[in-house]
Amino acid sequence: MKHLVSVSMLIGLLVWLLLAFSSLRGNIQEPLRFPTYPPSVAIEMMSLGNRELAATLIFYNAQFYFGEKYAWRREAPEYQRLFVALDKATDLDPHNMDCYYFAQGLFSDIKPAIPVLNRLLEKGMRHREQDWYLPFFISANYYFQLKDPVKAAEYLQRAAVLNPDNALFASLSARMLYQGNQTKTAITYLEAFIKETRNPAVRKKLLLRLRALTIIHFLENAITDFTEKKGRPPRALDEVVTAGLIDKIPADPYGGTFFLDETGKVYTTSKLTETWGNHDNRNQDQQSQ
Amino acid sequence: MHSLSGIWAIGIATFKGGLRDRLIQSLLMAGLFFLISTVVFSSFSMRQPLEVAINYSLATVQILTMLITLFLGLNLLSREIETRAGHGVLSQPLSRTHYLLGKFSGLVLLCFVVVFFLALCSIAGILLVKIGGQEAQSIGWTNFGVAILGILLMSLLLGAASLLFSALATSAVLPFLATIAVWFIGQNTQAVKNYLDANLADQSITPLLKVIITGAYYFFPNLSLLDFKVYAIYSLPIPASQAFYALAYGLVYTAVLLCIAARLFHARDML
Repeated sequence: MKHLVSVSMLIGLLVWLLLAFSSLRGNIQEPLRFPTYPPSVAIEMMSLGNRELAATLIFYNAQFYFGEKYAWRREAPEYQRLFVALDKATDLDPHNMDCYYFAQGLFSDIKPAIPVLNRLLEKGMRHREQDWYLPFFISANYYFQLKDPVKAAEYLQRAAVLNPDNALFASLSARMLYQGNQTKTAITYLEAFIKETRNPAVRKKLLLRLRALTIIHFLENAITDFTEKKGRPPRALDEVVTAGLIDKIPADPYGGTFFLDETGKVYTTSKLTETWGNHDNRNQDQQSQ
Repeated sequence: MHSLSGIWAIGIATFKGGLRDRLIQSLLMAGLFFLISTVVFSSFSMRQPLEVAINYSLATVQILTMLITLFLGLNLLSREIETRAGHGVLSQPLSRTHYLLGKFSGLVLLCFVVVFFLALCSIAGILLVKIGGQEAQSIGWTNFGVAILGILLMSLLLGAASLLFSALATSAVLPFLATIAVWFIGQNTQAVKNYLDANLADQSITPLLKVIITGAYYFFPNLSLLDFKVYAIYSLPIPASQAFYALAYGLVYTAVLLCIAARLFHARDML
């Protein structure tokens, strides 16, 4: 009986300590940094024949880090380190779809990252020959970021061959080659991607972009109405508001301000993107391999 | 015939002794826990929970089987030599080679039971993930079986290496460390050789080091040849010739180790 009481008291103390610790942790927030992993050959050696598990663990770490940093703390993630980690994980297990999918969700709206992102996805295409998502992603990156509709249509065609039942490819391919109404095409692509995305942090990032694109599409429609009504395009977005076609210019979810450029296209000061960071770090990291 | 029954009797005794060992029971408990955790582990995957479940299960089976083999191999001979417990058996009309083979057959039985039990746990874990999953995806059970067979062969090879070192050494520490070294080197010779062959390393690798690495590649057991996990995880077709060569390689290497161990044990001074 004495023994039972002392064990219960100790367990009670433990629970109290845990509660005190978690409330303390809620107030003090230590900086969250993403680790730099050793070269993939070293990770492979340390994994003792479990390279696929090592790749999954790196992906999980990247996913948890991004979730806490981006969705919970609302801080800018260390994108370059994340990319290098995913690159190493796919060296260890080039079949790992999670890594490619996560990379596309993270880096597809960061223009300087597109060439390396496409190289990563190409690596996936070499090993996952039946996977239509990979050429589909590369196609989107060529179209929206590198502004290369011919390459984009070529990769979309490869995706269509792998998944002939998906009607989305035909409509997207036609629009890409037509080059008109890019915003609507981007919305269609994003909606398809979001539908398949279960990770809440990645979903949040994609929904943010979708919201911004929907606003741009709304503004573009208002400009078309204005041009039809007045016989000339507006010189600034304020004119569309003054004409009573919209109540006000919506706020940019990325924190910028929408404006019309010289050609009459809707742009925003935020450029709908996040910073990729210092390029040199990534290069050094890759050289260290 | 008499010698065969002797080997069998020692094998059964070793098997029973191993089952009574607390280490085995605790590792099996740990295995059960890890395999049940498959469901939790795979739930973090974005696109491939079933693949992650197979990956996690096979990795757990492999690590646990290798650890169990390591400790079993250590107890098999070293402890008996240290405590002189085996002297009674060796005074019987039974050659040392048969004694050694009996010990190894006990280890084979134990490894088989361990791998079989862990494989059953993995299958249960994988099926749980599959039932909870949204997509109807088929699992390549044949590939899974081949991967499990590969793990069993790896453990037998490691067990034979452990016997060899035990036959050589006077204490249990050296065989333990040497077997761990063989495990580590055996898992990595292929990766290091690929790294060298692909010229990924810079100029700092000297010709002497290259010779040492190439020598180690041919000398030490290449455990990665027996690794079929990637085929099981992603349901990739296994080239039949590769599976055959791996099987033959594992068995022949184990036989070579046993032969050397028997020769060394025969020549050993037991006093």
